[in-house]
Order: sequence, then C-alpha cells, then structure tokens
Amino acid sequence: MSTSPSYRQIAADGLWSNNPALVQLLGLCPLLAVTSTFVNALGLGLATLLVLLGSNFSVSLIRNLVPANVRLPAFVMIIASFVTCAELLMQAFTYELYQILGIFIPLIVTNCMILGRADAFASKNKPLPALHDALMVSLGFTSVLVLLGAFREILGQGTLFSGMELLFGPRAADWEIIFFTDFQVLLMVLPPGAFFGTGLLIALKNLIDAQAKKRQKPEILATDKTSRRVRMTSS
Amino acid sequence: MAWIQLSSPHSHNRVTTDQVMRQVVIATLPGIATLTWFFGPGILVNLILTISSCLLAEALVLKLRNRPLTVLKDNSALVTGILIGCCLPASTPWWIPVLGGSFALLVGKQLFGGLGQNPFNPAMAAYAFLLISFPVQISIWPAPATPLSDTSWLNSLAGSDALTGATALDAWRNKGLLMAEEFWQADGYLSSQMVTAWASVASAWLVGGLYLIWQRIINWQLPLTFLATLFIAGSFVWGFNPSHQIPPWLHLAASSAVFAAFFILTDPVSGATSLKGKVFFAIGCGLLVISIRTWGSYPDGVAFSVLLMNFAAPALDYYTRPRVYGQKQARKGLASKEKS
Repeated sequence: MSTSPSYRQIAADGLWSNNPALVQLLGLCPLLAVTSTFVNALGLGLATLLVLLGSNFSVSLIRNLVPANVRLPAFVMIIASFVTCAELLMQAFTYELYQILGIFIPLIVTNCMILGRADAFASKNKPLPALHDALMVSLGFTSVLVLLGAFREILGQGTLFSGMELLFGPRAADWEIIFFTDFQVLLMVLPPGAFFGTGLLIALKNLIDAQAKKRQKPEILATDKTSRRVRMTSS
Repeated sequence: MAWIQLSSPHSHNRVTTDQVMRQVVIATLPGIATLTWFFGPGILVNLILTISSCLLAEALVLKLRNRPLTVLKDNSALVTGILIGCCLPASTPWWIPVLGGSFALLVGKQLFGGLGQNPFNPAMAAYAFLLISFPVQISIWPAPATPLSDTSWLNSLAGSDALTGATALDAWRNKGLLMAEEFWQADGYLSSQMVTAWASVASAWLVGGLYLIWQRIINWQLPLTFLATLFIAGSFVWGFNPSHQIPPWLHLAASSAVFAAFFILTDPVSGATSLKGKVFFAIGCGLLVISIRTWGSYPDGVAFSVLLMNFAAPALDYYTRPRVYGQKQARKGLASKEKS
C-alpha cells in the first residue's frame, strides 16, 4: 500500500479510462441480458452499486486479517451476503422489478467486476478510498447500462422511461415518453441488439479517446524538444 | 492455432469484379421480370430503394474511410441491393428496403472492411435482420393477382393493407391439423395460382443460374449439391409423415431455395473456397434448411442456414485444402503445421 492512487485518479479510472463495461468488458452477462429497457438497466445498476459499495468497504476493513490463500472464498462470501441483502431489499420495495430481473439479481455474485474490484483494489487500500472506488466504478458501469437500456428501449419499443413506476412508485407512471408507435425494431430488444449497442458504445468511446489524443499531440511534440537527438558529426 | 488467411478468388485472369457482377445482374433479370409479372411493380420499387440505399451507404462509408468513390464501380453494392430487393415482399412499407440496404452495406460488409473481408453474406445478413426485426411486414406477400392489372401495390406503399397472401411455405406452416389432401383442396390456403406463381419464379431463377454457369461465373457443383440435398433430405423427412410434412417438390418450388442455390451460396467471399469445401458448404446449407423448415419456428430458413454455414466456411476451408502442385499430399487440418 505504498502509493494509493488519488481520488481524482480513481474517479477517472472508474468512470472513463478503465470503465468496467467498455474497457475491461466485465459484467457482460447482466449488461447484455437486462438492458432491454431503461428501468431494467437502472434497477440492476443500482443493485450492483449497493453490492459493490458494501463489498469494497468490508473487504477493505478486513484486508489485513484474511490470509492471502483463502482471500477469494472470503471475498465471495462477503459479496454473496451483500447480494442477498440487495435481493431482499428489492423484494421488499420493488417486487415487480425484482420479478422482471429474475435470476440476474442473484447472479450479481458472479459479476467479475465486483470480485475484481475487491481483489484488485479494496484488498490493498484503506476503507475510504475503497468506498470511493466502488462508487466510481459502479457509476461507470451503471451509466453504460442505462445508456444501452435507453438506446435499446427507444429503438425496440419506441418508448423511453416506460415502467418507471416499478422503481420510483406510482408518481413515476406518467414519465413515459413515446417516440414511435408503429416502428419497432424487434431485433434491438433481443440479445443481438445488446451486442450491437455495446459495440457501438465501445466504438464511440474509442472515437472520443482518439479525438482527444489527436488534440493533445502538438503539446507532446513541444515538450519532447529537449530530448531530441542532435547530429554531432563535426566535433 | 493459426487460421490461414484465405481471400478469394486466387485466380489470375482478366476477369474483374465489375465484369462478374455485371453478369450476375444480367442473370437476375428473368427472376425480377417474373416476380414483377406476378406480384406487381412493388418489386421494382423495392429494388430501386434497396439499390439506392446500398450505393448511398457504401458511398458514405467510403467517404468516412477516405477511400476513393471509384470503388463503387465494382458493382458489388449494386448486386447486394438487387439480391435484397428480390427477397422482400412486394407490399412492404418503403422504410423496410431502405433499412435492409443500409444494414447490408454498413453492418454486413463495410464494418468488416469492405468487399472480400465480410464473413457473412451481406444480403442474407440484412434479410435475417429484417426478418427478426419486422416479422409481420416481411412475411406478407400480396396475393399473385392478374398480372400488372391491379394497383394494390400503390396502397401498400402508403402503408395501408392491400390484398395479402403468404408464401407457399408460410401457408403450409399455418395449415394446422389439416392433412395434406385437405390442405390442397381447402380454399384460402394455397391456391393453384400461388403455386404457379412461385414455381414460375423458381424456374426464372433457374434460367438465370444456368446463364451464370454457362458464363463460368459459378460452378455447377454447388447449386446442384444444394438442390439435391434439399430434395433427398426433404424426401426423407416427407416419407415419415406424408400427411403433414412439406412435399419435396414444394421445397424446391418455393423459389427461395433455387434463388439461394445460384445467387446466394455462390458468393465467393463468404462461402468456402475449395471445390470440396463448396460441396460440403452446400450440403450443410441444405440440411439446415430442411431442419429449420421441418422443426424450426420460421417457415423458411434459407437466410439463417446460409449465415450459419458462413460461420463454418473458414473451418471447411481449413480441412479441405487441395493438394498443391509439387506436394505429395494435401496439407489440411490441424496436423499441417507439423508436416511442413
């Protein structure tokens, strides 16, 4: 734990440059399976956020007590108990959404992203940075889920924010925006649509990165001046 | 393991892509004419829409990739457009052909790097995309009317329901518990007019295909193997339950099979390369088509079969490499590394 990364660095990594869904391609199973609508994506994203916050914090607390060779079973047990908490909470407060998401709530246990953060970050850092990392990583993951959910819902169902009352109670029932009524690309609701959407999002991120790099290039050349090799044949 | 980069064709002669494609366009003419004769000028409208959207989509990508627009002159986008247009029912709303054409070129072809790089047949990828996304609009054909006399295709363009019918295979699938004998006598399923229409379209594709064989654009083994596999495997399935299974002649007369045999399976890019590989490719397609038509949930399975066999084409090429002149035996399969 010699050099813990700065909070800024953690945020940049989790949200953008090391985004779990777009760069590490972790947690693809829920990403591809439940993003057919905005509300499903948001529901699963929030559940993952809760689990990751809990697991990262607890793993960080016990990081000096667990021997290295049994750390993975211990982490999985911690994650599994938080997933059970999330499941029970969803049963209590958003029962319909829990039924729609079905098996994918218990399956958060197997989301590599959560175990990955526990092993790669939380077990090596203090609780507060670990919490911050959990928040940023899961926000990065949730934002991708939600973007994909919105994209697929608009093209596949012609609506956005339909069924938000499942998550936010009856007052959200009229949040639904209808774009098309007679134009529905069924493919986008089906699994291929998730692959197309994810591919497009990754391409978009790479495009933005490439543009940013291009803009930075002149600067690098300018700073490189000092290390330029000089021909010294005359002396 | 290292997959060998096979990009075809390897032959060195004066035939260029645009000459080949021009011959293919000529060969589609009888089929297009017959379709138009039986199903109205909606087919021509579809063709115009698919061709123009294909060309526009290709031009757009070429522009984005900083490639010269002269690539368009190889006519391959034109052929893709024609092939999609020939699959679509005459009474679709206008945006179906436009979406199909753009999908074929953008996702099916240019996303993978353009002509010669696409693992899937672009026309079939687009057709599968449309079939999955818009199952209702894509499976309603206008009833084959008295040729060219009615104007229902005009209404259908505007989106309103025109006279509707189904393809022969669709009608068969929806026959329910009717026995084959009752099916042929019952009204409202498959009129003799429809059978005539589809069989004529199939024979028109056959004429175009024979022209391609005569011009040596395609070889005869691949279409023959495909159609023979369909007939033999179809007869086998039919023999178990003649009252409920599709009769083997209907497998061929439903026109999609003949069209695919000569114009889709023979795609030199997405299919297998060696002759033996092509034969296995055709057998695989035939068996898949029969399986989908018999046990699947779609009435016709040509597009899905072709796409699945496109997946298998690199493996087929890997195991069916011909003996190279100067070597004692062909290097094929995984052992080729050690032998060399």
